[in-house]
Amino acid sequence: PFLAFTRSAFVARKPNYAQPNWLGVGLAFGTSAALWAFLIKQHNEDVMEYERRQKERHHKCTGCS
Amino acid sequence: MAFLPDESRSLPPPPLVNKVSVWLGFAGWITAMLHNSFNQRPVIRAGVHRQILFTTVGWFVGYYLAKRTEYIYAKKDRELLEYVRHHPEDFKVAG
Repeated sequence: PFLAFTRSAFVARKPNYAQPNWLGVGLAFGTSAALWAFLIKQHNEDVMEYERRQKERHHKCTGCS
Repeated sequence: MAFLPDESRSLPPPPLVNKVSVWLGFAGWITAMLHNSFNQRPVIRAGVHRQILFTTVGWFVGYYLAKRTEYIYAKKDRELLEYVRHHPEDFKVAG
């Protein structure tokens, strides 16, 4: 049949537990660092936006002189 | 409705250390440790990078969920107080 001539890009390997999976470790730490950086940046932006809106609201209430 | 409408930014944002983040971060940590035990690895000492990653993901998701929670509660409060304002006859103080 035609299917007998297909080739796969994937290779099956037994996982090697003798050494650390440095790629996995690097990706995990890298992703964690990126997530924390994004979260802290987002939080600081949220605080600034909240304070900006508070100022805007009070400015509108008292009115410009 | 969007996950976080624009008006939710008018509310004070939850602190970085908030109940939802702590709980989901803890849940992530427990998941990583459970994963270790299922694979017959030392529970705390193995896969620290995984424990940190799962805790981080939990903390991250928790922050946005906390923000949405605050928004939903604030919206309900606003609608409740609007109703009370528009129907004073139903909310007379006794006496």
